[in-house]
Amino acid sequence: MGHRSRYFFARSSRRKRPGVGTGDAADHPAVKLARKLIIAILLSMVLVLSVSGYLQVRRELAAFADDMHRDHALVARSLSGALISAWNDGQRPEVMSTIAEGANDERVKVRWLAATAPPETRNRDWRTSRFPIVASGTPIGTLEVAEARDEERAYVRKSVMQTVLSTAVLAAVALVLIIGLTLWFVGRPIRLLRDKMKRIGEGDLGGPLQLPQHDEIGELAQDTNVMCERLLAARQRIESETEGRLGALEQLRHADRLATVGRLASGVAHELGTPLGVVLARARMFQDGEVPPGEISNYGRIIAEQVERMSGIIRQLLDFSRRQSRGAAVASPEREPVNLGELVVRTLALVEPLAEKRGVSLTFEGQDPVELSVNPGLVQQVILNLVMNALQAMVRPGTVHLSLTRQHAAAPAGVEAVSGEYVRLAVEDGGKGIDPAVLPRVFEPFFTTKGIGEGTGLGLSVSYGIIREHGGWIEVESRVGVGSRFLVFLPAELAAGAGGNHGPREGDDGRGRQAQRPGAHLAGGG
Amino acid sequence: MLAEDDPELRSLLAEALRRDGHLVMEVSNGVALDDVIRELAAQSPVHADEIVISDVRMPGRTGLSVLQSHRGCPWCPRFIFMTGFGDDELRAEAVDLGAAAVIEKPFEFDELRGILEDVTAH
Repeated sequence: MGHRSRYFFARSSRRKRPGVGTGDAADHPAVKLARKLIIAILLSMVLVLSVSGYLQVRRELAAFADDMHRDHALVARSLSGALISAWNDGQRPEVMSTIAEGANDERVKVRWLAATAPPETRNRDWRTSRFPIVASGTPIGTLEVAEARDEERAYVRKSVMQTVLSTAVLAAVALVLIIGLTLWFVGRPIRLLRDKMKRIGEGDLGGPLQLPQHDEIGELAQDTNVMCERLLAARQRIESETEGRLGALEQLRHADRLATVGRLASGVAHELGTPLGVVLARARMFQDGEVPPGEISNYGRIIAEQVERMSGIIRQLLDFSRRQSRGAAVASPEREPVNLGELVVRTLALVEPLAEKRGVSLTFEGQDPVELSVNPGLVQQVILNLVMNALQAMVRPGTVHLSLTRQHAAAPAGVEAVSGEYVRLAVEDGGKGIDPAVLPRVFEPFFTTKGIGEGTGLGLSVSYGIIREHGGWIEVESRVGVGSRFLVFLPAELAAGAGGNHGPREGDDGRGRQAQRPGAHLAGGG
Repeated sequence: MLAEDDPELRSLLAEALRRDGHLVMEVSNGVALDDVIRELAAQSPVHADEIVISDVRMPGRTGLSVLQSHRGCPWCPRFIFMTGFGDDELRAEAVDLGAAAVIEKPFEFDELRGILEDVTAH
């Protein structure tokens, strides 16, 4: 059931977004995974490219600065000779400046500074380099070479632009490659795997997954296929075992039914004696010509009535056995709305001859009509079993009392059923009672206290299974020498119209009852 | 004495028995049968030719239980039981209780007539 409801939710959630189909990649978990991968790879790639671009730009800038410095040094060197000789000639600083500024052009400014000039300050528009000029061991001044920065800026711009462009192109190419490869190697196979898993979840184990990959995903697909094959084999095994178990259960029920029919048959045969005797005697009177002419039609009517009576008796037995065999034909019990009170009355009519034979009177007290959707044949089998057990328990004439009520009930320990409204059928006898020592075992198959040929030991166990299949249970209370009371609880929710799908939960059907030791909880109630 | 709960069979048998010259008393259940036997016993001590033809299963009391309660009494009518066919158990039980004869339904009236003659002859 679990996977079914999950599947339902999956479907309904998809239904909430119209236009988003099964094949929509944007919403597909496998594509989500691929997308995550792509984003992760892309982010790290952009990071790496950015860092490397940044470093490259810096490196180029440093090289450019070195270059300029070297140029400035060349200018300073070419001037230094003239400056030193001018100094030696005792020239004034003005002359020195003139010499220095002689090298000026549009982009390069050279200045002569005294040895005590203030330290250079950074200038936004000019890159400056200072070269101390030394004549015969004495610093005579400083030559400052300044170059406009516009060229440097243009170079930086160009360099940054180039780096950004190449990074972008690289990223774009990589993006396409990554998306394509990730979708091909990860997204697509994972989507296929997921679809396959979903099919498995829905119970479709066929159609092995064909992935040409020889990587982990390919292995996963192979493993999944192997798992499906094993699941399929296991499922088939379980199905055949279940079938066998159902067959065995049906055979048990059949055996119990045959025993019941056999016991009923003697009663029915007994019942038939009287009307047969009447018909025979009347027929002989016709044969012997002893019928007064005026009585002919009267005698004929009597014979017809008796025959109808016999048909009625036989039909009752036939009804029971025929409905049973129809129920046996299908694995799951067929349910139909049944008036439980009527079913009880019909069943009692079937047992009436047996009860009379034992001097037992059968009474039934039912409230307003109780309509339940049950398998009438199986439930009748239960009622028959309980009533016939009650009859057999009656060692002296008395009364077997049946009653049909509704009540709120909670399932006893060991029985999985919700507490709620239940229909309770009580079968009460004034018989010998059940020994407390065997009370916990009365629902076990083949357990019987009756002599050989009297009971199969199946009746109560079969009955218990049938009632469990209907979602109810049977309780028993007994006192030795006073009598026993069997209580059949059927969920009131089986009410007609509610449909027949109120079966037992999985793993909690009649087949599991042997392990439950039903009745054990009641051992002290006797 | 004829005890049978089915009115049709009872009247049929009673009619036939009366035609044979018997004095027939009809009852429809076990309790009535018991009452009648007690009444007769109180009235006259010996009625050697009183015979009870009784169905085994009847409402109230079974024929067998009536026989059982009068078993061994100083005045005890002989019982012929009518049972359903195929019920050997019941037949054996009736014989054990001292029934003079058991006849299986359905039977020809001639059979009952024969048994009746046998029983009265003894």
